Amino acid sequence: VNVSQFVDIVEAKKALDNKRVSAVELVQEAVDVAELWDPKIGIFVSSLADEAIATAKKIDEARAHGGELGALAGIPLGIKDILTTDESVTTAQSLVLDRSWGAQGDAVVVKRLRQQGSVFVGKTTTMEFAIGMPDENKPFPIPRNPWSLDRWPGGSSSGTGSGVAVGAFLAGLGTDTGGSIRIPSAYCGISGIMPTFGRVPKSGCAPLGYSLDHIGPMANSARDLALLLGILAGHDVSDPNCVDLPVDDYSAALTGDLRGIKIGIDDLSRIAGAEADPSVLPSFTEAIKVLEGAGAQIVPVELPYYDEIVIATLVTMYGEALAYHQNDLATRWDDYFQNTREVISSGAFYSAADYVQAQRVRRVGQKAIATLLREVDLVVTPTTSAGAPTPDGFPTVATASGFKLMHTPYWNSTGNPAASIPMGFTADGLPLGLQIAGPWFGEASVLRAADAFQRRTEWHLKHPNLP
Amino acid sequence: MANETSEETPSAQALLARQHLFPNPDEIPFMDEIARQARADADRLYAVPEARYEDPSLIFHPRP
Repeated sequence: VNVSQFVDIVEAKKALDNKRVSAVELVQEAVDVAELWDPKIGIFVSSLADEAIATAKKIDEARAHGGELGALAGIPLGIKDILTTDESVTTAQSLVLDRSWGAQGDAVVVKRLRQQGSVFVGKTTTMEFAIGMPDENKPFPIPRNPWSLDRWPGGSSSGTGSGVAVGAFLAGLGTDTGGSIRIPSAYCGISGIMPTFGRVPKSGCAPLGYSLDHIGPMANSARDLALLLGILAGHDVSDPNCVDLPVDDYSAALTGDLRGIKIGIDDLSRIAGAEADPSVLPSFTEAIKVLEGAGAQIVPVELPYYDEIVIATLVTMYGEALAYHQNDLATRWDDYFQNTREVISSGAFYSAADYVQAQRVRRVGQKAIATLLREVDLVVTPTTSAGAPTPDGFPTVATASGFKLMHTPYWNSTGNPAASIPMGFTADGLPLGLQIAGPWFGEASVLRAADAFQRRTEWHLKHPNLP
Repeated sequence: MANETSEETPSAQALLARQHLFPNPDEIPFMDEIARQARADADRLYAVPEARYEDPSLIFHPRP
């Protein structure tokens, strides 16, 4: 199966604009691909195929009549099912979520995509409320990795990650509280970015950790991330944490070269230890050579307070999550997925003082990272130190030891933007990710580096084959 | 080891019950282990000397 005739949105847009393909043809292909893959890998909680084809027809009609079209007119997208949408129930992959909450209409980010002509082909799978592991005893699809069906696709933005990888849609929305955009991006071999905290409004998203949650795009290329983030970012009064700052022209920042950019590198092998996959360090070393070849100056760094900041993320996340879920957990314990209820309940093991201390440590970490990012422009690490695990081999994320091989939650506590892009494969064919982090509101620099890397490599062009 | 922790801190069940949470019996050993690790993790936060005089501030101040 040819998963997609287009590399990415940028290329598909050109074909639509030149009328080499119609929106209906593009969306129908995505729907056809999804129908082949979805039963095997659990992309969707709910398909919106019929609505998508009807929307695509309207876009083609508007185009034929010379109507004004948005920047994403006719582009098929997937939306994580913790974000509300006009046309479907939002479940957060949970029996517990009040369905009337999800009936509030489009989340701000969904509305912004819709206004640009996006075609939503489905609501994608997650972990329940974006935390925990699948539960076979609950009536929801089990997400699987398209590169190896016995592997987990990563989470919690599982279906968006696997769906982009197979071509069920060209891009989608994920959310990230401890790595939920970057981990599935790495495990599925696609690109994703967690923007600066406050850069993208979160209203209409079921919360996990209020002060850690971020919404961001997942796609086939850094240039698609730039296009999408330019649409998603910007102030909205409905989110009290959203910042009223101008939005950069991210696409214009993609110059293709990194001259004048100083990149700090930390392979985090001291954190991963002996459990790291042996493919990771060679892939990381090669990736750094590519960045250097693009003109970047490379300097070794060590991320400050690494363990403590990861712990601060978890104490904060589970404290905030338990506040949201306490009433429902007390009355509907068995309705939750088993691992979800256990992990969220771990918030009960921290005191109020622990929560406050976590916020003090976050402040220390934010200052330390700001200092480091005055010495270097970007910090690059592996996203994970192994390929996708089997569900049975996945450690519990309730405590910091579960994150030894996943290097993502650090940046949620500091609020810095961080992207993951494909950098290679393990010996058994599982994708690996390169994590690029930058200063607050430095998404343009992050994406510039990601795009420069992708202009010199082909990892992001690889797609899994239908088994 | 959960029984080692129980001499020093409340059990997982006691901490959960304070939040009106009552796991199934087969979930208790896992929760005990998580509680032990969580306490050890949280203790590390108090060992960051630079945090001693730091304000607990979230990243951005809400607007009026």
